[in-house]
Formats: sequence, C-alpha cells, structure tokens
Amino acid sequence: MLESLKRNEINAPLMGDLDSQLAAAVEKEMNIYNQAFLIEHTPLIHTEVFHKKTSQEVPLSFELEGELNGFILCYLEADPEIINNKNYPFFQSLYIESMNIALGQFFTNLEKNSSLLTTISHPDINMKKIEMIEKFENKFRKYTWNYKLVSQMRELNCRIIFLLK
Amino acid sequence: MQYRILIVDDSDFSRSTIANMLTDEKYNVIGEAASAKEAINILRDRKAHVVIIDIVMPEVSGIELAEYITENFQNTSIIMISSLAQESIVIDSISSGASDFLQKPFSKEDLITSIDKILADIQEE
Repeated sequence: MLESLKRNEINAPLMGDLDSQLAAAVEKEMNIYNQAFLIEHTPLIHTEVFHKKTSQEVPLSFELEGELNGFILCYLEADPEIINNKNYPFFQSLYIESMNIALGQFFTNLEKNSSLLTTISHPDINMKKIEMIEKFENKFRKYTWNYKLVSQMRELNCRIIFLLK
Repeated sequence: MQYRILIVDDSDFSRSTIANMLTDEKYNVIGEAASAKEAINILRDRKAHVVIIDIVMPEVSGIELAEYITENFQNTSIIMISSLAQESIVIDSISSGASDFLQKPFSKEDLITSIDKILADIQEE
C-alpha cells in the first residue's frame, strides 16, 4: 500500500458517468439489526476538499479492490454529550459494523446497477495507516457523503470519503 | 435435541447480535470466534452442527475457513454472511462448501429459516 502511495500510482481517468453511478449506489436509509438506523444526511458528491480527522472524530479505513481501487476513510463524530467511557465500546462496535454494512450494500448496488465489481477489506482502525492515507489524499479522486447514525434516540454524524486511484 | 452453533465474525457487534437472535432453547451457541484460527480451535474441542462465518475477516478469509471446515469437519454445515452480496461472492461462498448465504443486515427470521432448513436437510440424510 505505502509503495503504491509513494509512487503516486493513479490509473487512467475514470469514466465520465462514474459520479452518477456512485451517487445512485448510496442507500438512503438502512436498518442496522433494529439497533440503529443510518440515514443519509448529505448526498455523495465529487470533491476536491479534504478534511483530516478532527480531535473529536473516530476514524476507520477500508481498502478497495477490483474495478475501483483505493481507500475509504470513515469518521464518526464522537460527541462528548452522547459518547462517554461507559457507552464508547457499544457505539464504536456499532459504528464499525454500520459502516461495513453501508459500504457492502453500496458496492453490491454498484455492481447491480453498473456492473462495477469492487470489494472492500475488513475495517481497520490503525491510526498510522489512516494518517498515511490522509497524507497522500491529494493523489486521489475524492468523493464524500454523510450519514446520521441514529441509535438509542441519539444522532451521531458519520462522514465517508472515497479516495479512488 | 439442542443444535450446536458457532459464530465466526471479526465484528464484536455482529457476533453479539447473531448470538442474541439464537436464544431459542433448541439452539446452543457453543462459541464466538473473532478469527478463523479461533474458530478452528473451538471446533477441535466441540463439534458444531452449523457454523456461521463472515466472509471478510483479517488474515484468513471466511471463504478459506469454509473450505477448511468442509474438508476437515464433514458433519458441520456452513452459513456464509457478508455485507457484500455480489454474484461472484455468493458463488464463491457456495463453492467453498457453504449451504447458504445471507447478506448483512439480515433479520432473525431469515437466520432461523436458514438454520432450520439446513438442520432439516441433515435429518433427512
């Protein structure tokens, strides 16, 4: 992964209609085992802007393989009025599995709609790896969208960033 | 008779959610494993009728684990689970020896229907 980032490997320009194919693959709302809901808050857009992790965010990364290559970064805003030492393990594990489910559904939809076969790795919370991906963010084509994670009558912001080679 | 079930998933949340779906007294969750290695260690000690396996896990994938179980634990059936449900992944799951595939998030009813169908097939044999 690091060698690839250092060499600034970027494949040929992406298809012109990729933006709309990606936007169409987003699930607007997902029920996470009756314990939480993911509700789309802002739609998927292509962006040049990249905001690194803030001190209040819990980050997560996935690697992409297949017809789309690169990384996905997810950030949960750990609002201290909601998340405390006692409930942190529950919200962290809920958040990780919710992002896994949302992205799995996204790439399943993408294959059905556009025949683009892409798989995701297991979720990774390694901070050094996430910082390295953030450091090289300008080498990638970026897409972003946000979900609200709603659980136990509380709402938490989740932002998702695709970094595509 | 109680049916012995093993859950294999690197997600704590997923393992506990699935275990909570199997509270009926006819199911006995014999263990929860976070990796293929843990799963094999449990299976060497305790036989399972059904193993529920997440496909995307670090190090050894769920598909590789399913192939190992199919070869080495012949009276154990497998249900593969994954958030990804592309056709090739479902085909790989069934080719690895799994009896069924469920896309996450699935309902308690979907899981129980899948397990009971497998157990009924075993009894018929």
